Amino acid sequence: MAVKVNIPTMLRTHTGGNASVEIDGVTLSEVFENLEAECSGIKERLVDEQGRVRRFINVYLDGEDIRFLSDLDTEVGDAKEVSIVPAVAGG
Amino acid sequence: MLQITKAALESVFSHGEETFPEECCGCLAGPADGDEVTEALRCTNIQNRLHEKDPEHYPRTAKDAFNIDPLEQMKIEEAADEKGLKLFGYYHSHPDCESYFSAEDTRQATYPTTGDDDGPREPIWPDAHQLIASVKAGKADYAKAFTWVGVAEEFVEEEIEVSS
Repeated sequence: MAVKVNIPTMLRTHTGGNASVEIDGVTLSEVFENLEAECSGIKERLVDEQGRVRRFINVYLDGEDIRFLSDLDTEVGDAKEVSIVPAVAGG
Repeated sequence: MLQITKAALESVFSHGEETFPEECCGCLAGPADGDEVTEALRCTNIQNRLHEKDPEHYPRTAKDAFNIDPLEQMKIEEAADEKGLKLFGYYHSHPDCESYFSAEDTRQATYPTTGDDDGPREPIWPDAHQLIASVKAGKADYAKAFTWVGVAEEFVEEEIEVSS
């Protein structure tokens, strides 16, 4: 079953301007792979060479931070939404 | 060039004055079909909270660093879509300091492309305008804006056009 993936403004150049896309996947890792197939170039912005979510990206599954679930191994199950949220910081 | 209304810019200044001597932070938003920032959307600086929980990874406090609350950021993105707005970038303040894109600003706004922290870096949000307000002794002094220039491979100051 497809889950709605909410895309932050700053990444919408990869989605043709769309604020969300419906993506299939059993785990979040699969969702991100399939998201890359639809929106070329987006995965590199989200995940590093070791397959970990980049430090400046927060990912929520139905409002829950995936760092408190199983990160990208988290199963989507019946969840409705994946939210990709930028971490913005400086000094 | 950053195009911004006088009201939005003054809102950034007011925010910086209210949070002084700590850094304020927020998002710059405007109509999705336009080129101008019309709203400064305030965010909570959670740097102190991060520093208290994990001083090793967050050695700075809110006096010289900012970190936008990601849950607030998520709500702002959703609300912006509903209102027909888009985000043009972000703002923060430098208390008792000039407005410049600091080494820390650059470090946090870029990521290493090879995995080596000292290697080449790319901007996280290449299209984002970064507005920084200088707030001295509790009063906003001026602001400068910065944007990523790919050819120069760095953040460069850009012109600010203020409309009434």
